[in-house]
Amino acid sequence: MEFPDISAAPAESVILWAAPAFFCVFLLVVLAARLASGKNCTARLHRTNLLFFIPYALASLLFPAATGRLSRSLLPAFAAGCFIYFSLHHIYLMAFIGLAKKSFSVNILSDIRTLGGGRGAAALTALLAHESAKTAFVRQDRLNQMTVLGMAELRGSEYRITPRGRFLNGLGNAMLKLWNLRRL
Amino acid sequence: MYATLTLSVSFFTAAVAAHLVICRATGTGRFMLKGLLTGFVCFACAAAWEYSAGAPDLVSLYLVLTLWLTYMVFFINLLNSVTLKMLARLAEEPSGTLTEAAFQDIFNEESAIKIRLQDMRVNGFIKLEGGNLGLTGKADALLKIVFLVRRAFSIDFVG
Repeated sequence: MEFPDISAAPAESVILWAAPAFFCVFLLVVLAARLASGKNCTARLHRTNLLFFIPYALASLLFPAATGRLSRSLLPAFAAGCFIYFSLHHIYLMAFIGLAKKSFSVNILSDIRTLGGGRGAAALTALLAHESAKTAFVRQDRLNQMTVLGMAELRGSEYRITPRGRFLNGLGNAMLKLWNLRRL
Repeated sequence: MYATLTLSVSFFTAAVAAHLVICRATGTGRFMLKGLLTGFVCFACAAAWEYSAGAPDLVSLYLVLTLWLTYMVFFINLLNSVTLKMLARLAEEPSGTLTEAAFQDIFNEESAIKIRLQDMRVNGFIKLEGGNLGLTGKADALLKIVFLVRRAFSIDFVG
């Protein structure tokens, strides 16, 4: 069996196909090292994804350089490759992990299933008690997130909006107004 | 490659413009359905264009699809994110401050659970008959995927 001669392949194709290839390696590491487990996995996953981007960027530069085809015309292919690499993580992988881990509604559905199908008033009461405890945790978690992202700061027991938070909120509100949308 | 990028961005921009017009005319109701339909039409048009021009360019189709999903994810977060709702509430205060206790009154357990349960019932995920709460087939199918993802990625902490 012969391996295809990768050095003969067009540099654009190599740059484009290397993006999903490097992402697959990153995905294998996520699965093998159980990086999605634990409480604060999001920052860890983003960091690891960024770490795997470095060899991808280097390979995208070194391959055309080594084969004597490095030119500015490869920049659009590299831009598309970067978009493919980051979108596979942020749009597809994180959507699945976010749905399974963070979605409030999905967690309620999951609890209805695990708390015995919710048959009868007693089961419904048990579910509501369980969800109440979790909602308090979610509220605290999101408040922390606001401070971690620099949108608010905690002073004593008070949360104060930062200029960054005010700017982001204004931007979001302007977009919602332009699109004629209302927060749910 | 320039042609691929130009084509993807052109179809995506046209879809955003169409979605903007639709949203301005119809508001927030059925946001997901309208977004998915617009995205599907945009993707189908891009595929038809590619097919009519000869060999379909998979990179271009991937870019169109993913740009649209990125746009949808952005708006879904803007509309639903609890963190952004908290931020909006904080920004509404003239002093720009709120105590932890005030957040507890605004985002309390009762209203949060009630709203979600009502949404899930309207969207056909749960059925509430008398005192009995049950999952629909749609919810079962969704949970199968969720449990599979949790198992595959060793997700042991949710919330």
